[in-house]
Amino acid sequence: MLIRAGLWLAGLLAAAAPGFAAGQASEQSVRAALVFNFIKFTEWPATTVGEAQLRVCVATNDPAQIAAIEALNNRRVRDKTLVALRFRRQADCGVIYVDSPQHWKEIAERQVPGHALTVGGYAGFVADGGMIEIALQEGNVRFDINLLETKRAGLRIYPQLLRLARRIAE
Amino acid sequence: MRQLRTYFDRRSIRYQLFRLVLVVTSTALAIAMIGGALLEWHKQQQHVSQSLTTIAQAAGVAASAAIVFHDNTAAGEALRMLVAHQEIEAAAVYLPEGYRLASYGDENRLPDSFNRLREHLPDFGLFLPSTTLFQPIQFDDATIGHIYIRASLRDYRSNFLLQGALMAGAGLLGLMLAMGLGLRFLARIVKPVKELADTSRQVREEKNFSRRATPPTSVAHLDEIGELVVNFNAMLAEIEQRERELAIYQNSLETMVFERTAALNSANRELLAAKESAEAATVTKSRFLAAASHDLRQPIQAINLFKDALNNTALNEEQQRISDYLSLSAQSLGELLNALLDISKLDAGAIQATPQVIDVHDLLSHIDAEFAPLASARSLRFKYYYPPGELAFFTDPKLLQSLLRNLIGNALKYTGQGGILVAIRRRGAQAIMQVWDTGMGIAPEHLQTIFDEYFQVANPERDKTKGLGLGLAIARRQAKLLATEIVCHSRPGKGTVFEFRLPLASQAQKAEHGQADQEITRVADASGLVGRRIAVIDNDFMVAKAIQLSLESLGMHVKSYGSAEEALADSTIASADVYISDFRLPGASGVELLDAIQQLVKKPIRAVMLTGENSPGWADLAQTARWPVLFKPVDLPTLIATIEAQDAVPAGAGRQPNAPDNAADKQSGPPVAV
Repeated sequence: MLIRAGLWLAGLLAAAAPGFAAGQASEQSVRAALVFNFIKFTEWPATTVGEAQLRVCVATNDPAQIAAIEALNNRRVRDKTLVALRFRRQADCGVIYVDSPQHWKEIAERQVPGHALTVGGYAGFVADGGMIEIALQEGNVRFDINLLETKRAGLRIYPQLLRLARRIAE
Repeated sequence: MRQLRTYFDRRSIRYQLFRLVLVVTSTALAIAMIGGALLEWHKQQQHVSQSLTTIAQAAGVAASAAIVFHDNTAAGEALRMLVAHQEIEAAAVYLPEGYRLASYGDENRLPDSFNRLREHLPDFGLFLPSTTLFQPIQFDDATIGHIYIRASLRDYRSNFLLQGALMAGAGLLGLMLAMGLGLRFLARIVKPVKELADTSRQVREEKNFSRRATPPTSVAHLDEIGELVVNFNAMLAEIEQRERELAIYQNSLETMVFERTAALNSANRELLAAKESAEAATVTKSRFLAAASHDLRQPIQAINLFKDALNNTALNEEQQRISDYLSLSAQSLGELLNALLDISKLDAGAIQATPQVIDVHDLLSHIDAEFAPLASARSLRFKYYYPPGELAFFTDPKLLQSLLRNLIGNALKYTGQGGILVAIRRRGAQAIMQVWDTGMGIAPEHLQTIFDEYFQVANPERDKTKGLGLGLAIARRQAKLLATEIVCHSRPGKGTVFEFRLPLASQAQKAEHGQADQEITRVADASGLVGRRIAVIDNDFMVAKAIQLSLESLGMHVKSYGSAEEALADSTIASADVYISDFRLPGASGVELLDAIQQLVKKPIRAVMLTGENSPGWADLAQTARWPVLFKPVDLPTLIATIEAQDAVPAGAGRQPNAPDNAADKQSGPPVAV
């Protein structure tokens, strides 16, 4: 696993947002970076090919987190341009980030929008039906992947990413 | 194969063709193989490059997530898939920052620092043990890192070498096949060429033109060599034919030559026979003349003697005149006869010149004595011109005197008034002798013909007192014998000159020869002979009588005999003072008779021999006789002089007085011992 996470993050964040000062590797920005990388290794179903935008919705009260996700705005991944916004039910999100179970339950109750990659930042997210669960422990980044959910949503996760996961739930 | 050696014999055509095939096929194969090797190289190069780049890409993709998430474990795992490719010795993945995320294989073979690395594709080299690759890892159109691979070239190299070996093998095989085929075809060309060469060599060595080279089997396949063979055979046939013709021609030529030679030989024989008969005729003629001259001269001698005797008797005026005419006629006759005999002698080659040293002054004085009276009798001047000092010729005296007599006599004959000049001038080692006259001259058209026989310029009536016209003809022959030539210049009406050159005697010649004794024509003084008893022996009655009468007219007592026997029969024969005998007497020679008489007398006798013989043999005989020999016709004064000479010197050592014809010579010999 990562040894010099700081270095990596600095490089990533420098590429992501030149305005950022090196060293300001906050958890929120790490999570945002992870989301960005997950997007890189995820393939949405063919029906979404024509869409030029991929909406990255963040469902959190943490303004820092929101700001970090919003930093992904206008980044490109393959043929899609990322659009970062706060989660709204009406928005057709391609990626949803939640950082608490309460927010998740809110979203999950009213049916998770199809084809959305759900990334959670709290423990037990995968058990709750989330796709990728991020776990940051002692500077290490770990994540678990729920393949059932991804398959149900019609998403394909690149095998390279799967290999990196701590746990894969099928 | 015996032929195998000839493949390497530099001079043979087989070698040359073999070399051709070898060189050509080797070159072609070599080029092909080189091309193949180059292609193979390129192929391996491509293979290496493509293979490794593909591997690198795959590895990069496999490690892409690991790279993105900076998961070096995962990256290492991804690289481990390289184990499938045995040639890869080491590999490494680098993050954009230069940090090596993961490696595979022998870490020692990985570069120390990322900074020195530049993106490059792998290379292929026969002597490179391994090659490297360094290329970016692309993910999602962005370079997320770099991958470095080090691969061993051993497999590629052995591949290449294997290919090369296979190609070489194939090439060698191809070469051998080509050579084999080539040699097969080569033989087909070489065979007829060799045979042709062999045949031509045999023909040359044996000179046998009936040999032929084997012609090509089918005319349809007539290549250049076949044509050569055909033409060669044709040429041989031609040569054979020509030889045959040549032989035939040679034969006929030989026959012709043989016939011609035979013809020439017979012609030669005829010519020889003709020549011999001609020579015989000449000899006969000479002998005839020799014999005849004796008989011809006898009567003339008699006439002369009678004439002299007559003149010594008392004659009246008319008788004297008649006697003078008689004299002239006799003289004429004598001259004519002498001229004829001279010329025939000269023609017969009976006379040879014997050069001696002659004193010119002596010569001139004798000429003067002889001709001055004649000249003055005709009121002509007779003069000499000669250079001062000693002067001597080296030539035959008799011939010279005769020649001069001829020319001067002619001059006197044809000069009516004026005079005659005898001139001698020096010309280096020679002298020119000239006889000038102021006579009627000779017309230019006659200048050559005057030397011809019987030619006379002014004697149309053929007056024999003017000679036969033989004088100059004789003179010409005499000049030739003297090794000179008479040249004539003349101006009609003014005069004529006859000139010729003579060699002057050199000091050496003078020392060697001394002075020739001059022939002296002496005027005889008979006073000392009065009362002498003379015996004359001659079988010619007229001659004997003539001598008797002429001598008796001078006061001598003369007894004459007709033969040797008659003389010896006379007991008083020994009492004569002088004996005059003919050289040739019937039955005995004059010499024998005189010898016999001398025996009787028992002491040396004084004698004179007379002869009419002129042939060279007689001349020698006369020379060796112990008594002087006179040639008939002899005139009284000469006879007297000879007799007196006999008186003056002891008998047996007499001198020879001059005679109109030559062949008389100085007599030498020991006194006769009785």
